[in-house]
Amino acid sequence: MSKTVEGSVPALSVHDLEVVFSTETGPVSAVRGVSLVVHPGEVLALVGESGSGKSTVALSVMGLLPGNATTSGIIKVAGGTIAVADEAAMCDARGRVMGMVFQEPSTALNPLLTIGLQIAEVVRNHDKSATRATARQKAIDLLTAVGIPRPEERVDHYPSQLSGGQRQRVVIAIAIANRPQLLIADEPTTALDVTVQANILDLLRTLAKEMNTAVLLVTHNMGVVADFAERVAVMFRGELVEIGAVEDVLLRPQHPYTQRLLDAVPRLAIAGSRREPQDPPSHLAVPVLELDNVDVVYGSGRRSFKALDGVTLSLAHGETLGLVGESGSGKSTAGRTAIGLLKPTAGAVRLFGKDLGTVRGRERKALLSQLGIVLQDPVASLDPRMSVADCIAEPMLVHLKSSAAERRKRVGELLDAVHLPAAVIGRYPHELSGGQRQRVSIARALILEPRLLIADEATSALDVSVQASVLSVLKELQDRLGFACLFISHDLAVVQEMAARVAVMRSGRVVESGPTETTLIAPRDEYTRDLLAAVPVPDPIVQRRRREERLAGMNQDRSLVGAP
Amino acid sequence: MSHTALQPTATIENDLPAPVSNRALMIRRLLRNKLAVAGIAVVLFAFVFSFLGPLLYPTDQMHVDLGSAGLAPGDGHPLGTDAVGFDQLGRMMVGGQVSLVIGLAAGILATMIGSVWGSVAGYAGGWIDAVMMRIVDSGIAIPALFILLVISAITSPNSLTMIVVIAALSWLVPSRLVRAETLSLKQRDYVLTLRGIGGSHWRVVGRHIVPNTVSTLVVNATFQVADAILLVAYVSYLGMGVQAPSTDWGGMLSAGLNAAYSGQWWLILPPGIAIILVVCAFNAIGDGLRDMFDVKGQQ
Repeated sequence: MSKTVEGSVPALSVHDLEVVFSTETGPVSAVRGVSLVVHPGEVLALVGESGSGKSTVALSVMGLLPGNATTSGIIKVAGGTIAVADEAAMCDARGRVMGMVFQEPSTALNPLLTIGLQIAEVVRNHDKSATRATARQKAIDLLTAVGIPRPEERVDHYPSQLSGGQRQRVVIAIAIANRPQLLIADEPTTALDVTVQANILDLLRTLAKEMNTAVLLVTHNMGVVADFAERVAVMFRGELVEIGAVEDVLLRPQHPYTQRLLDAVPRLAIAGSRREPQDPPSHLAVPVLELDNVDVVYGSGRRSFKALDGVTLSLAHGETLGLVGESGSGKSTAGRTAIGLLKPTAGAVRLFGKDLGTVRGRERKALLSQLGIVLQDPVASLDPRMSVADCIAEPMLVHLKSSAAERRKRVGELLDAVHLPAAVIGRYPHELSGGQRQRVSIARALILEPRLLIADEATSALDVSVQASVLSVLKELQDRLGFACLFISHDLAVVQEMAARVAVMRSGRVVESGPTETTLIAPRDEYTRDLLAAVPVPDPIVQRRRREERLAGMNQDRSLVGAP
Repeated sequence: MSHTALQPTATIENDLPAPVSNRALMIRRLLRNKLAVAGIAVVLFAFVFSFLGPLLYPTDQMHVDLGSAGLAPGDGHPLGTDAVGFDQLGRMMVGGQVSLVIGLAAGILATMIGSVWGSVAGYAGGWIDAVMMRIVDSGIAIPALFILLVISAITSPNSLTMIVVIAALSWLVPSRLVRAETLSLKQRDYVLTLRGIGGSHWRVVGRHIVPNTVSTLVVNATFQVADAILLVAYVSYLGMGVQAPSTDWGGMLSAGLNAAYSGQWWLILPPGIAIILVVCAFNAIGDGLRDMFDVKGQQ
């Protein structure tokens, strides 16, 4: 690394760190022999999939491991050794020499205190001479530094009055309050929308540069790594498998695991078509799903909220329509309205040509039997008290008269189709990994050979390599069974890969729709353009160019757009 | 359904962990709670004592024998006799039968009523929920003991009416618990998925919601049993329990009170200690079951 200053005291050095958790099923080794160094002003990204031990490393540095962890090794922050057992010293170091930014801004702040008090608390904890007034002034300065508009007013606001992005800015303000030498950011943007993520990363980058703070960034998102990090350390099953400059690791990975990981990352195509255009859907046949000028209003009177506003969508036989948008855009509401879980306030939903609002009883049940549903959360989508076989067979019990033998046979076929071993039949969901559970969900959704599959963020909670395998299973089965698919996702790269047509939603409206090759490459709508520009791509060189373009674009209309 | 064999994709992870016997793990958690193990032992002993005891130690609990009234513990009567000549040890067994049966049956019945009420209210939502829960609120506002005493005063209670009345008074708390659980369960993705493909409400409640509240229910049921045993004791102590010659531990306590001033401790201590032990034991078992079902609270 050209940037690091040889001979200077590293902001963080970790030597031969081992962490073992004692659990009721025996000891689990979470981190094995990890050594790394972060120099002042440098951003080191620690990447890996879930269970790789990356967060455990970050928690060890902060001394926040749970009580059942045993650690060995040496951790030095800004030259001083941290003895994890010395809680008083750790307390002093946390917030003064180290700042922390966690994933979920809504739980990182106390909802009952104003943000000003929460910032002031950190200031006064480490500077006993600070008065209330100076701490408050410091809080206002910090809010200004993290780009909160009207800080004099905002300082007295409660976290609930701020948006998610603003809350994360406040968390960052707390983290940098005492100008720490080391900033630890554990998935700092994972809970945020892409456009907000881009702004938060810009902020962190600027602050780190200004204060010459070292940053340990823990993330699973290769785009964020490419955008922000200078060096990358890759973890796999508790071990560090590769460490190097971001260009080297992301573009020329050496270790087979890193290569596999990067292969699995869905990449946003930014120019040209990369999927063969599908046959245009025949418009003669009745669409499998039609939303016709649908409104959905939650609540009533003054407190009502229009979740869908005149949404019109149509999905032809065998076609995949990607529904994209940020949180709160109404994409999930649209999905739930499409299958009758929510009643439209106005407009009509037609499933296989029949108006879902008017069919009743047996006819409605027959319509719904041609539907498969896969939802996001691999933990919550399977009943923990039912065996895998019972989970998969459930739609058969709802819609068909079938014998136990028939069900067993069909479950076997489906397990085969989603590439799960027959041995999972008697297992319970908690014994399976996230990807395996999601494949069980797909098997359940497809057991009746539906004509329409609704996949709402079906792979969003999965690691990239698992996501890749689940998506390939889904595509393969769609080719074979020919069902139409409403693919709801916030991940534009995944939608590009899966969907032939795409509809972009914002604030309950469809702002743009069309073939994926044109809509997500050369969008006409400004919001779609911003959305695409904000997605970080896992190539540091390309990403640097995209970032500069985006920032240049933002400077042009700064007068129009405030901070989120 | 034709099925073509597919080439598994290379990247798919298919290693399954070795089957963990969940049951063994849960039992291990239960056994780690020493107090709960002691509780189980006490309850088991109480049942064996009350139901098998009379076979090994038969006594006459029907006929008054004033000739041997008020005897101190000694030959032939290990715990002495009471004011009308019943053998006290034998009486403990008979009283234990009534206390345990009423407690257990009332606790379980209360939990059942509560779970049905709570799951229907929580699942239906809207005004049905509002009405059903206001009924629960008003029920909780009236002291249970008061109602119990009024009913005992009007009727002459036997075991069956005691069970029904106590259950009818104590289903309120479990119904609230189950309603809360149902509210969160009905938003789970597996319930939404089932509703989305046209599954019936009965299937949702019967297959998904009720089985998932079982752990809460079992834990709560043990506390209900303990409460019910205490309630029976209260009522009987106030002289309004099951009628003689039948008795229960609370009734024995009440009958022995007059004799206590004359130093006949054997009429007070045995039923008193038995009530305390059994109630504590059921509470300890409830604690242990909570550990057993609770995955998060564990290391």
